[in-house]
Amino acid sequence: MMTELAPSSSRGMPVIVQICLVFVVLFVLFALFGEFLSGHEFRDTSLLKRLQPPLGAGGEAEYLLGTDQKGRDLLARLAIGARISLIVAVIGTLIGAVFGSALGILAAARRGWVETIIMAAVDVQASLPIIVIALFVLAIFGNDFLLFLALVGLFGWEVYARLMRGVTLSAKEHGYALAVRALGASPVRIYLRHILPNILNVLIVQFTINLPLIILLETALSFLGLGIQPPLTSLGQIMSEGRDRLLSAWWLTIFPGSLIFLVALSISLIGDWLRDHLDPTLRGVAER
Amino acid sequence: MPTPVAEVRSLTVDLPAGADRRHAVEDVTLSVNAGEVLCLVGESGSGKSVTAQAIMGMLPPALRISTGEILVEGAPLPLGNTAEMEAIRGARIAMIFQEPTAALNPIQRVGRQVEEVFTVHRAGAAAGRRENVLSLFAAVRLPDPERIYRAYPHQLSGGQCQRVVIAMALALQPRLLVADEPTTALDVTTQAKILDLINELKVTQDAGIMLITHDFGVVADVGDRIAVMRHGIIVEHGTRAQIFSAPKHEYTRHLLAAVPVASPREHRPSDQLPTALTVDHVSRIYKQRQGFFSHREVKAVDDISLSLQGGRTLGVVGESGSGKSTLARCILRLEPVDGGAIRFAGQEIASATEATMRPLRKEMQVVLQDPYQALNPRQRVGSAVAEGPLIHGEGAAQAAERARHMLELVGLSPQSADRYPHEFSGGQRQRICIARALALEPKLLIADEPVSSLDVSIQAQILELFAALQKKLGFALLFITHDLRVAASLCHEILVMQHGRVVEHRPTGDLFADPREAYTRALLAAAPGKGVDFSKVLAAVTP
Repeated sequence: MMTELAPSSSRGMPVIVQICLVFVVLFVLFALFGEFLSGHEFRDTSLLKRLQPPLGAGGEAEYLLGTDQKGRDLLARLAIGARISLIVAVIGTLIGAVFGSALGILAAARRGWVETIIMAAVDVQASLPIIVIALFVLAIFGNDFLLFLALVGLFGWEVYARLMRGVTLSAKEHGYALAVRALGASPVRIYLRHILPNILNVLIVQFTINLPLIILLETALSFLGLGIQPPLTSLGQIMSEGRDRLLSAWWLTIFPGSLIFLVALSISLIGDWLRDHLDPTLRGVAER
Repeated sequence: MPTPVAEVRSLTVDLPAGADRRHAVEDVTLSVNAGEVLCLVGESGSGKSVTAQAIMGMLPPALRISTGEILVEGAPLPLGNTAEMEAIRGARIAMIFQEPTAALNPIQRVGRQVEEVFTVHRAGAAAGRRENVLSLFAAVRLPDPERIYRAYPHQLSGGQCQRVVIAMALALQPRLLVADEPTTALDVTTQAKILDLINELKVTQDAGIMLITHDFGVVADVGDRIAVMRHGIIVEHGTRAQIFSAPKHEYTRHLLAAVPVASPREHRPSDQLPTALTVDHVSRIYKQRQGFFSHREVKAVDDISLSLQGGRTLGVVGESGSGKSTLARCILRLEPVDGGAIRFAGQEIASATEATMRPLRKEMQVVLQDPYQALNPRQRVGSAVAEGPLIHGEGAAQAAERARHMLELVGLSPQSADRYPHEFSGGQRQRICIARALALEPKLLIADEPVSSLDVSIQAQILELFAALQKKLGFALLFITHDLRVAASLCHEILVMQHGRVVEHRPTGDLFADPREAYTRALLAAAPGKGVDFSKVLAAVTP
């Protein structure tokens, strides 16, 4: 009865989430078009212009954010690095989300030995740190962009599988799933047309929570020299190159570091807000 | 003139802007005397629960009292002062909730939970508290108080949990007890016992009791005075005798007329339609794991046989846990069958696979209990109703047309097809579910407690709809319910179930005239409203 009396939820997005959203949009635009802001190609070296500080810290307008030890324009490198990091993060998250969710839903739908095997794999994955697996695989097979993508995609699949199994199990027992089954619907129809749309919000929220983790994972692996290899670059790789000049050329680490920090924080905050916003059990709590 | 223990004076509670009306309750004036039960009767959304929440000082944050005051023993409640209200709540006014298992903390022994009331209000010496709780348990007629004291909520039955909640409410001898639908979630026989207890407590505790309900049967059993609420306004207020013998307001008469009267459906010899369903010694056994290697077998359905002809209605009546829903799922083959045979549409389906069942499902449909869960919240109503025909190969345009026709048939406008389930009330949603089931023109319709989550007045309409549609479409109906009164008005035959077994299976008229088994008699006796002859009330109110 109270649900009928409760006001229709008209809560807007908090200002902080709006700021985050704007930042994420800007980040994506920067990753896509940022190289045009700089007049340089990200791989072009100019040894005469090595380690130029950014504009405002003694640098010149030609290199807005300064240059690195090989005289490459940092702005152009950041744009490409952001693009690669973003591609790795989105594709990596998607691989994990699709693969993990499919297995989770399959486990819930089939139960029995299928579920036992899938959930055992989940437990194994959950008890092995991804960074160890990555070190192991990359050490043996060498580095390759696709292999790296696959490894990053592996990260977090077990979280999706566990989550999707849980929500599917509960959605399956809902009256509508039973009623549609009683209509004579095939399992494919029940799961794709009825259950999936109803659990999609959980998936979206998990996606936004996982995305910054993947960005950080990519950064960490690249920083260790296991990730993106030169001449290609990523935010983590730029940071690792600037590691030795933390004091003399601070811009080489501060700019990519801040970018990673802010984008991960923004997506996390948006994810938190989405989770609270889409969860009907939390509705009304935030208003008090 | 007895002194009121509690008074509500011209209480108005505002709804937030944008709601369908301005006030949740408007200008409500009520009083409750010591030693009496005031029944506040109304349908969902009538404002009866909001009135109770206002008295308890527990209104949801979106609602606000705009005018009026509430007095307990002549002193106005400090409604704005949270700390003072907390001291009064539980001590001078106390509340009993609808769902007893939800009102108890699942991980704490119930004795400790009742003791907590004393602790919170710093009442009495710590040493005597345990004794106090035990005597409270005795007062609410809980067997073996020592054992109950140590039990966790899940180890108790629903009725026992409700008694614990009542004991908790009585702990500090409140002057006013507010009970919000205290028996709605309970079985009929349990409900009857709790209502007896309420009648006993109003005398022994000398407290005023305000009981909120939508069921005039319950009112007939306990109400001394009755206030009828609709759209936030009290439309009629009077003594029990006044309301039952001479109801003045149209709406009161409407509610009275909606109470299912346990008078059997007319037994007309129907044209002999072929048998639609035969269930032959069917069993369903659940294995409960006990320890590592052993398990216990629970026979949810134990050797049930029945048969049903087209155009006829068989009522399966039983309390929660009797296996009636499991039986329905077995017949629908949404659940495996562990023994016996089921013949439907010329086929043996007890051991049929999911794939062989799928085309057969067109012929057997189901309407589930909870209309709020039974519809996909993200699917338009028209698409939901059209889905069955679509699955079974009808063209999209034809199926959509059929959906609109079905919606009209169940009393909704064809335009409803473009709306989403949350835009409909519970009764309307149940109509949609019925439309969805009947869109396939099934030979057999199984309705699993289709009206038990609806208000009594809506129940009556849905039952009429079932009867009218059956007459028109000629399907066989297996109607599952816990309420014998409901079954009586609709079913040609009734099968009473207990512990998975058949207790009694006879034509409705015979069963009511001469119940043979003790359990059937107990069920009949427990139906609320036995103190009032509703058929006479009905005759008086129908002009």
